Amino acid sequence: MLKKKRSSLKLTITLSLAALILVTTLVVVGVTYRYLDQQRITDARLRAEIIAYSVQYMAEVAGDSPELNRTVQALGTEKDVSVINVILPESDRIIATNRFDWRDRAISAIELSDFHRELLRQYSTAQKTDFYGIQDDGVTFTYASTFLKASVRDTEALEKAIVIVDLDTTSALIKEERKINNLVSILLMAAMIITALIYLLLAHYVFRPLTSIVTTIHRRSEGDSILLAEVLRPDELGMLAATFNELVEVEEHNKRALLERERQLQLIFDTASVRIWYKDDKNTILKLNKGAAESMGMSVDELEGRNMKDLFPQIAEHTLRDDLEVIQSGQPKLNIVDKMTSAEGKVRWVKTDKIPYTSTDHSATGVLIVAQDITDLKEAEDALRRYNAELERSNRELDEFAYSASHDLKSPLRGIDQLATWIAEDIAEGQYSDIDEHASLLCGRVRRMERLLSDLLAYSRVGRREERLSHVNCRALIQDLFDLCAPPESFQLVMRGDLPIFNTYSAPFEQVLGNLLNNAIKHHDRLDGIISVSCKNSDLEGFYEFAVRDDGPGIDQKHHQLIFQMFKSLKSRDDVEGSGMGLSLVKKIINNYGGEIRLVSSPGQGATFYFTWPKDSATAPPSKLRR
Amino acid sequence: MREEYKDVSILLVEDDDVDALAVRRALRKLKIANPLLRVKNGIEALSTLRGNEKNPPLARPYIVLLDLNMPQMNGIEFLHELRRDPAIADAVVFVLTTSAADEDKVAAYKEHIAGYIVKSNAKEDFSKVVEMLDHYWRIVALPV
Repeated sequence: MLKKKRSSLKLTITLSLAALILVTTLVVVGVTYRYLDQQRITDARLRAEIIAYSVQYMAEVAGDSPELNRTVQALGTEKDVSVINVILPESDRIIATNRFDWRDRAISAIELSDFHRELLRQYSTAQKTDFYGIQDDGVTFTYASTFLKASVRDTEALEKAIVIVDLDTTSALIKEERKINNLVSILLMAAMIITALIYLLLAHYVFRPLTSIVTTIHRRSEGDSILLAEVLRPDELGMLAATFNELVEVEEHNKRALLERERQLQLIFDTASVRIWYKDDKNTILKLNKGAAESMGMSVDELEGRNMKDLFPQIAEHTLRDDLEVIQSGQPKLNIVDKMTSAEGKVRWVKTDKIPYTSTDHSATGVLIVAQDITDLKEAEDALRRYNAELERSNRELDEFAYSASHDLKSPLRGIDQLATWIAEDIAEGQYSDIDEHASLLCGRVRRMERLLSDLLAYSRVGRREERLSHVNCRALIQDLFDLCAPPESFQLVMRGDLPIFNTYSAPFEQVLGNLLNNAIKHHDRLDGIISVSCKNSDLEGFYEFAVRDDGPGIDQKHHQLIFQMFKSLKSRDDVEGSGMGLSLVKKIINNYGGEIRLVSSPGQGATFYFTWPKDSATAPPSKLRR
Repeated sequence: MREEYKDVSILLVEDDDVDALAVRRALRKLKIANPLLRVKNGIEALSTLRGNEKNPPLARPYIVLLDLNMPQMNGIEFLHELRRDPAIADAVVFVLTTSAADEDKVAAYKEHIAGYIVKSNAKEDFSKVVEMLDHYWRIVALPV
């Protein structure tokens, strides 16, 4: 902007000085010439007066000088010549006279009469020899004697003699004039030198510092950030330069601070885990950070300045509508949670805040969008909710357990207590008939208690113990387990189809199969039961589905859930000895290894327990919280 | 009075053999000769009260001594069924259980039981209970 048309101070001062010199010269010359004119006229008048008086004197005294005599003669020789006027050929005024009544009047006031004019006309056209003149110190006095004779009678009687004075250039007056001219020239030269000096001083003291400041400003505006204005002298301009430098340094400092802050903000902007972008009210992306760009699967450069309509035509209109609502209301929209599909096709949950944005000069309005991928948070929340539900369930189970345990653990104890009391009473009373029965009942209660406790221990250990992997041949294992149950001779075990040979945690697997086989035998209502075991690939990837079927009495549909609960048994303990924990234990083990157990049965139709078991336990580690 | 009292039979619904024995022993000790019938769960109890192909319905007057924690059909389920069956809904039932849980008491009294008795560890418990019952049916007129 400094390059725009500017008026030069230097030029103004130069022109002003030149004008000053010119005016001064003109004044000096004018005054000088006027003075010279005055001098010339005064001089001529003095001489003319001398001549006039001389002529008068000669005419009165009739002097001896032949020169004068001739003059007197030429003038008419009348001794009574009393008035002599002097005129100059170039002037139209009488410059000198011996008439007393005229002498005090300014010579310029006495104009020439017609007679004088006629005389001058003749003088200029006639031969100079017709006039009689004298030389005196460079001035020629010409006496117009001839004309005088002829004209005296026609004109006023008083004017007897007219002297025409012609000034010679070689006269002393001209020397004087030359002297004055030289003086003027010297003065002019001096004026010019002084002007030049003034100019130089100005240039040194004013223009240089000014130019320095101007250049500095110029260079700085072009990007030079180091240059400072020169401080040449401690005068006003030096102060100006120093102040300018101070200003520049303050500005420089502010600029640096601003740059630093901008850099920090940019760093925050770029590294923030949230996605940030600005859009204007036309749905154009003005600025965005890396996170935002990555979420759209492109780079920052590819997206900046682009319109949503070109980038994501299917959602552009919807987002614009939302943006405009925010812009027009001036109210931010917070916590908008959307389900989105990422560039890789995964479902992501995104929380978005839309904040209206107006530039400080109100020239632009738009919306600032801050979005955050909350998928992990949401998943964690869901997991937490699941865990919570699991915890609640487990707490409920624990409550139920405590309730059942208090009953089921107390019940054999109470029995033992009572039986022992009766035996003691009977002995005291000498009645021995019931003692045998009571003693055997007591032993049964003790066994029941023991079994309950060992089953409880086994149950609590599920998933807590480090189980070892070993090679299991199902066919052989099932046969062994069946034999271990010591079924009546007439019971049959049938193994259908292929049974796998695989690596698994053998101990829990044996517990499951053993319990199911034992259950099938224990609850059978006949002595010739047939128990069959089979296995196939489960619908669940990576699992076998085993089936343990019996042809016993079957279980009513309404009890299907109940039988898996702790301490629940469908038969009285005194009819079928058992802790009521067998199936809960089985279920807990199976669930612990990621499997499920279900029952298909109805009264009179036998019962089939189906359970799934992982094919490769090494890659499917037990998970306690699996539902 | 004496005639009626003698006729009151006791239906003991109890899955635990020792508890059943305890009741029998207490009756014997107090020389109460009322007939005692013991069943092991709610289903058997209903069948006894309603009668089945083998036996006719239990002759009135009777009172029911009911345990709560039993397999197949527990005490509360039995009470529920009992009160829904008009033929036997008027039965006088005492709950005799190890459970001191409030929810069991509430559930049982909702089914209009005559009393809720908790079997505690005290050894004379059953004698006291039987003594109380003896007084009860001597004084209270039972539905016939």
